[in-house]
Amino acid sequence: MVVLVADDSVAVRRLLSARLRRDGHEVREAPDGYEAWQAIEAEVPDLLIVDDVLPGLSGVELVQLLRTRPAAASVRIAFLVEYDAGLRRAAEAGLPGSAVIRKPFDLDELAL
Amino acid sequence: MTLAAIILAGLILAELVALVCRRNWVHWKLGRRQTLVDDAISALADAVVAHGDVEPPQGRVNRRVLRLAALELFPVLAGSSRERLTRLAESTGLVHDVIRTLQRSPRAYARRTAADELAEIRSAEAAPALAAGLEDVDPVVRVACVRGLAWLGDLTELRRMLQVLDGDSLRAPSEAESAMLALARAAPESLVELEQSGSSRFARRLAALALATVGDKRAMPSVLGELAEENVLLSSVAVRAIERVGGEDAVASLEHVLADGSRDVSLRRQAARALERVR
Repeated sequence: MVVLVADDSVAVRRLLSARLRRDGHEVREAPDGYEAWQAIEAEVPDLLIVDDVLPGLSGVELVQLLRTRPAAASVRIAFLVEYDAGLRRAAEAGLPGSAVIRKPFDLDELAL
Repeated sequence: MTLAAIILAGLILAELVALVCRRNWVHWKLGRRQTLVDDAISALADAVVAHGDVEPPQGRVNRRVLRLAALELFPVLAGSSRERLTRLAESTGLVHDVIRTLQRSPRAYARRTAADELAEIRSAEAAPALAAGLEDVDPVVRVACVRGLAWLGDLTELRRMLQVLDGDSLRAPSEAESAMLALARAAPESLVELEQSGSSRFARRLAALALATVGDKRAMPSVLGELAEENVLLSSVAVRAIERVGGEDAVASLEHVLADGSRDVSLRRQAARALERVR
């Protein structure tokens, strides 16, 4: 599975990448919304893990843009949120099939 | 006159060249350090995932780099993976380095930072140093040490911790706020005692808000008093706290704020949103 991790925190990207690579997945990283979109245009991932307050395009904007592309209809989404406001934004965006990962997280308990 | 002008121009030029060189040197240094920190973050992340080890760093720069990397990782992690990172911080000597700074640095700012870092790392090895830090000459260091011990769950010096909070909260408000939040979870009875019999009004107020934030109903009378504050910042904190506690008293007090046309509009909106969640 190809996974794109989009978060402005190097620490978050490296931790999730290390965990996903251990499980045998291919991982791409993006530090902001624009680079994440470029990565998606280059190769549509199977799973997008995206911070909801990403610089540039926000996580919700990125996912809404992604949903306009028929080729990306099957991409699974996981929002990284830190506060309740993030949970509300993800819920209000009404994006079906999206999961939520709360920060801080325990790598041992992540079901990816 | 001409010679003086030439010398002055030469001095100005030399100063400008020195400024440009210094600016480039700082950019190069920060850029190089960030690369090293990113590499260290990757090494630590791999070790946390693989249950592995990291070689203890050699030299001052490498130790500093590992410290910065670990401190970026700690706030992101929870549970057993966070505990593994704490073990790595111990085995690489990082905890020892930070303890030494807390114990020996003559600069209060360095000791404050060290106390904050030890609170973040949450290593039991740091407990004696944090306990000794309760007697530091700097009030921010003392409160930061209370926070460190509370996050660690080490309540051996609880009586002294409460004294520090009562005496120093006003001088270190943000550290005191998070220390009390940690104590509200680790030792709520002690915070109720501080809230009811502390000598500082500010400390009693912070204790009440911390208890309410974790949903402790015993804080409700004080928090309802805070709601009457005309200062919108204080009353809005009280609205959030009341929402956390919930119950009939919460509904009644929030309805009262909502119906009071003399209260700030943003506070009434906040009360309306809180009511939706509490009801």
